Amino acid sequence: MPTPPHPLIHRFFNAYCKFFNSDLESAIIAKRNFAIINVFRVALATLLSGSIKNNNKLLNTINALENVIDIERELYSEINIYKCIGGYRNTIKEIFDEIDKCVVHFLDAYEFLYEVYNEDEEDRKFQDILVEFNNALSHIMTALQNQEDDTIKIPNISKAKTHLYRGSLDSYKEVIIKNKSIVMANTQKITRLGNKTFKEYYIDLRKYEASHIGRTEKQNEEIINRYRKLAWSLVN
Amino acid sequence: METGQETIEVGINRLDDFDARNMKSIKNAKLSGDVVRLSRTGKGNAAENRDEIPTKQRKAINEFYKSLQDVLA
Repeated sequence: MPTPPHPLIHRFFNAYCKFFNSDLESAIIAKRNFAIINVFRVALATLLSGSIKNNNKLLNTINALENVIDIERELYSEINIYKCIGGYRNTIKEIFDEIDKCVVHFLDAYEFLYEVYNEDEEDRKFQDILVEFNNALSHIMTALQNQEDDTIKIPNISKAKTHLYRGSLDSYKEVIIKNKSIVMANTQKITRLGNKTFKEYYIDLRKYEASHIGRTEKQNEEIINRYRKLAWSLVN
Repeated sequence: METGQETIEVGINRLDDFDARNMKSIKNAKLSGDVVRLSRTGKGNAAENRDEIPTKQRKAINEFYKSLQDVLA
């Protein structure tokens, strides 16, 4: 089992709760603050890292995150649909027991895409993929706000997983799109792809995806892994 | 045709050693990087990126990334 999220994660979600309220107001009329969504992505990855144990330094980072959100709240404070008063601790553990693998899949897929698109050491962020991440967090937030009501909590945990899955898949598909000329032109059999050409593997994968998508988590995971394998083979 | 049960040769079965310290997208993260849209768009995500961020908030985000570097060091 992976290392459980750092205890400070309850403050992460309290900060996200405030952002959720502000984002409801601002996303359409003032555009969405993807710089903040990326801050949440980075903060969550850090909190999930088992190797990062310096609590004082992590505390400073979470304080800095809260400061960013407090400024957003100064700008957009008219919606308070969710009460951001914490009390999520047990439910966060329950949710992460269920979704931790999806979260790590997502963070890993984003990292893969990032490395492919930022070979020049730029720091391009991917709006489309961050949308899926934000959607997942918003469903987790809804589950946390309704932690006593399984009829709301459980479907929202499931929806969070779907968005993380979608974001992972799209990350790998983007890498394949970037390298589509190789898929089409290269006729060499690739050992790690079961001795198939890129195109043969791709065609089989598309068929597999069409016949298995959305059925079981295990099959969804297998689809992600096959896309990752193809994407990885194209750039290595 | 693969069975779907094959061993993953390359992949991310690394939940046990997930570590943000090894991730460029964490280590290199900064406010100034562009937010880009990729080719698989058009999924009904109406919200555009807010590209004008007030100075006070820019400073706060930069402080976040600065503190992060301290954590990752």
